[in-house]
Amino acid sequence: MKMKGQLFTFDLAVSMVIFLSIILFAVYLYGSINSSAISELESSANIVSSKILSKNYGSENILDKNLLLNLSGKNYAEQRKTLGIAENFYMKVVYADTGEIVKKNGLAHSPVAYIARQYPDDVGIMRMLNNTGVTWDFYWEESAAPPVGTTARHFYGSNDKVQTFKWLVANLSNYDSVISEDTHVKADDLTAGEQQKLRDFVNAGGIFFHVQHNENLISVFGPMPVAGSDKGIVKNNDDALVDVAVGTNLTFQQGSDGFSTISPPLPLKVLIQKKDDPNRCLFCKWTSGAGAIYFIPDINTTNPNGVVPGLKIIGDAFEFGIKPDNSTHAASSRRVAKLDNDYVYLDLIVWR
Amino acid sequence: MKAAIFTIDAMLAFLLASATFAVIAQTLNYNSPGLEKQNIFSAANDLLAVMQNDGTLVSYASQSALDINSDLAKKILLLPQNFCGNLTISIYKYQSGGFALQKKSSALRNCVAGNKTVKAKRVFYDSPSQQYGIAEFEVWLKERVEAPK
Repeated sequence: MKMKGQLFTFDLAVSMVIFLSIILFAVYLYGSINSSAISELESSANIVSSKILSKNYGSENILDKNLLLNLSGKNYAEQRKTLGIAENFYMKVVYADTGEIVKKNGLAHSPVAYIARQYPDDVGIMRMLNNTGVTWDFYWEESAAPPVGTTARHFYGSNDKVQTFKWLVANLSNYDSVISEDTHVKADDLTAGEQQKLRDFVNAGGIFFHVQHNENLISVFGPMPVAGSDKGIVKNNDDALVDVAVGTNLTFQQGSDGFSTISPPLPLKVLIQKKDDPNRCLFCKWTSGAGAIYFIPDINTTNPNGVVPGLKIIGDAFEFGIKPDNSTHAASSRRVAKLDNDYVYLDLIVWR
Repeated sequence: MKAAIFTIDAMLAFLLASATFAVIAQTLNYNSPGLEKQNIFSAANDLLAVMQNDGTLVSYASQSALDINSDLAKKILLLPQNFCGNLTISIYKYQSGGFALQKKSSALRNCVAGNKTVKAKRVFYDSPSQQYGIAEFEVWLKERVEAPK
């Protein structure tokens, strides 16, 4: 009996050792597989991000904008196939200095100066800018108090429209784009020096977007307004007019001025032409230096849903895939790259 | 006695099976040497690549060491937040049969160093001043430091 008791104790001890060893081994194996999964995802994130950056000597790490634009037109499954990702992914391109997501189109290139005059009719673009990632300052021509519901970074207000516009001109160096909505400021309200500052702003790469149906402010840049119409037809797409069929007819709520397409003083791209008159543009884009000037008589049409179809004020962001909210494993890659003149980060998360 | 023999058999079998599993697990986990440093190398190489392509590196040849220092301090901030690094620019002139150091500037984003450190290098040449430069960027992963309890 005594011997049996000892044997039983020895067996128990050995079996406990074996049992604990199996548990420890299982834990090790699980940890090892887990760490291997993370390494695979890290490696995948790095390889995929390299595909989007150019590798040619002399132009390394330039972001392949065409590939990104191409990806934009695809669904999630096609995007994964194009990038060669077997797992799930989320990717965005952000400016290194501001953290703002880079836009693939649109007119509101941060920081934006937005100037408007009349509430509530002529602040349609304020509503578009509100609660977006766009950094914008508001120049308000109606009063010293801001209109209801603005989310602007800085506010400059006065009931003197010319004074307010002059403040904007004085601050032009702070902005990448100016959006002017029914300001009713004329070219001769500005001094020669202020007019030159506007031209310099555009030549240096700025965007000047002007909504106005019957004033001559655009003449500061050279083109002189002529009689237009409220009825137009889409001729070309652009960063400002996206995915709208050429030949689409529309009627602006207000539209009296246009511009001649014959011998324009600056290179001209007609986005919306006057219906039945190829010599008149209604939505026009002129390039000047590194920048561009846009004119449109109104952002609204007589259609029930209002806004000109395809008009991109805010723009679509370079953001793809699905955020890893319910992931079990995830690995991220942040690459430094150049896009035009800006330093940007290409952020990619590969996840399961 | 029978029970004891049975236990020793089982232990032997278990040891053999464990050894086999361990070898298989290690084989499956095998990565190319240096693969785990790929992300760190990309971080270092990316910044030097964009600085070379946009002419920043060559422009250092005609700047003072103080100006270069000031610019490097800004550039190193482009490094992703989870990395630290030491960015050094050395400008040389070839004279009397050898390279003479003209100026040296550096910027450091310091933090607790991990054991995975990678160095990327670029060589550049400024034709007008006939100066050669070496950009060296040593980068390491920021070590996670637990807050004291």
